[in-house]
Amino acid sequence: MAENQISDRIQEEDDLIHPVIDLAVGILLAAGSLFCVFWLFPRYIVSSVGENDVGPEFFPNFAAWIVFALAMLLVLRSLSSMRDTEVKNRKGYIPLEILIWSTISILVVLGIRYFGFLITAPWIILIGAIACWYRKWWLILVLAIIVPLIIYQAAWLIFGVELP
Amino acid sequence: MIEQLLTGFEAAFTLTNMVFIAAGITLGIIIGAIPGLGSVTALAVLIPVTYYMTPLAAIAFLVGVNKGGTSGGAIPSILLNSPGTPEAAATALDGHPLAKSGQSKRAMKFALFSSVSGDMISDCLLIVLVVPFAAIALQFGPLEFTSVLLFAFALLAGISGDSPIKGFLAIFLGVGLSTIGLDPVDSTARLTFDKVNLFDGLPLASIAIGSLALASVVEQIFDLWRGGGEQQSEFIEDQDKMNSRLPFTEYITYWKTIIRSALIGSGVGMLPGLGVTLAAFLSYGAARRAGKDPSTYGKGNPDGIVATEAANSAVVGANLVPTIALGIPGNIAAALLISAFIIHGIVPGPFMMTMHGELIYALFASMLMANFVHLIIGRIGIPVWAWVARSPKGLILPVVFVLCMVGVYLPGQSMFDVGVMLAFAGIGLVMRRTGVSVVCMVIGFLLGGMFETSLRQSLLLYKSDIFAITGSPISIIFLLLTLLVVVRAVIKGLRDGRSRKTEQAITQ
Repeated sequence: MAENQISDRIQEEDDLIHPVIDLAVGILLAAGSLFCVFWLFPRYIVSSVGENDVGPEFFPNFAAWIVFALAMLLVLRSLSSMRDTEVKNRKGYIPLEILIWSTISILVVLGIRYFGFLITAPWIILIGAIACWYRKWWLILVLAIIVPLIIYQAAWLIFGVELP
Repeated sequence: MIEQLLTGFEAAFTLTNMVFIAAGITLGIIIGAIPGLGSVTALAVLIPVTYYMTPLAAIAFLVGVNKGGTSGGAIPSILLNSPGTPEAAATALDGHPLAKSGQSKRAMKFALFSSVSGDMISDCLLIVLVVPFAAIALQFGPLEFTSVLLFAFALLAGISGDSPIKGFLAIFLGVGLSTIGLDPVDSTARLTFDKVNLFDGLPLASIAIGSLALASVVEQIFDLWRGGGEQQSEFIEDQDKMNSRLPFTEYITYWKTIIRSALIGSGVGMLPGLGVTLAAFLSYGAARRAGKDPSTYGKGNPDGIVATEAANSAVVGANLVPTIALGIPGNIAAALLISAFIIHGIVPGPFMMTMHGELIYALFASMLMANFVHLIIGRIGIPVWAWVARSPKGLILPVVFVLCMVGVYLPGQSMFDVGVMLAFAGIGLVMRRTGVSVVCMVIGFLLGGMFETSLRQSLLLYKSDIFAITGSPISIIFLLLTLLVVVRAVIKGLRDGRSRKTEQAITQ
């Protein structure tokens, strides 16, 4: 029961977004949209003007400016509510999670590319189960071996596709 | 029409036909439940299997696959918060919270029953409307599509939770992402960085599965890692039988939502190009607005499940209206069905009813019977899926991760798609942690391209004459509805702000 209460509390805290997070999101999105408008789009979108039409750069710029305006609204709203908030959870673990996930993604892509699906998938299952603190090792090993084999065969037999 | 339909039942009610329908629905549910695959992949793979079937058995089989695939996506959506298909993301909004509260079987029953109900209503509409539809469908041009999509954006921001600002942010992030690729009018490259893979834009399946399904899986793994593991099954067991029962008398109390959602799904399905996902989210937004207590949506309100599943299943039957009446497929699934029609010597279009009337009415009868078969097969499968839900997350989540990768890889056999999926899993994770709606971003991406194309087509057709709108009553209606939705949202926001300030003043 106490453990359920702890996990419920973690869930509730996670659900509340601290204004600092909204502020960070707003600033990042505002900066990102300005970067797109003033650097990315002029370099990577060929401009052309047709009669009675808007150019190819119109919609990307339109979307970026709207994102900028909304991001600034978010910044202003979070600044005004920062004093009054009682939310404690600032979710400082977000950058760490991004770093871990980026590393995992790169390793997965490289693993599949250089070692193939049948070598990489068992490691994904193994490491995923360990990360979830699951400790029935024999079951993890059985699953890590059998599931990729079944998927590999099913992909070939049903879809005619050979996984990497 | 009634006599023709009765003759159709006579032709369709054979053991062979029923077996093929059952097989199609079963395969569709299984494939639809795997993230990244869905009914379109199932159809594409299974069409060659139908070469040696009779035309009726083949089409009935494929329609069964389509029905099963559409509803199959709800299973991982409800149990794992990892939608099998983009449209099932709407089902996860209320399905997963309801399942976590110890009512996983009830949630799946709501999904199944409303899926079958939506299907049944749209099949009946198909039979009645297929002939008169042609006249209405021809009235929809770029201007009308533009107004419908604007209305969709306005409604969608309403489902983003308590922050319309974040909802619109997510939508326009998605719209911005949709501009990557070749310009839809003059085909110049936009943000392609000279990569051939990006000429067609970012792959929708990778974005949807990455940011919706895989991001949820990754978030749950990180939560378990930080929390020290699964203390007990996070699904409260359905030990109390009351938690798993769904009497028909209770289900029928949602009749308003069922009918409204089925009509929305049918309406969207009859219009080529709008898609199942839009129907699901429009219906969810409408149900939330009409609900007695909108704040309960997103927290396990069965009405949310009913709305999305009835709508997205209603699209399946309604999609055949333009397909049969005009020979124009409503979406990719309908396009694949057209190819199946052609393989079996049936040419879709205005003369289809005249030249192949008996076959078409037999098909209609097969579709109606398929709904009952769907109900039986789906009902049998629920305990199986509920058992999966009770399995340790440490085993299920990594396997779902692998399935997501395979599901995205299979259609195009491209590691680029897998890479995009992994990148959007990271983006989806950040968005979930920061309270920005991933669902709105995906829908913005889906609709952004359509919106740009229809708007620019309108500008070209009407030579930028803004008064061209006055000649289109359909556009005027949708623009007024859009204005109404936006004004209501602003007034509600101002009222909520005022009442919050009053509460704070009282507390101080």
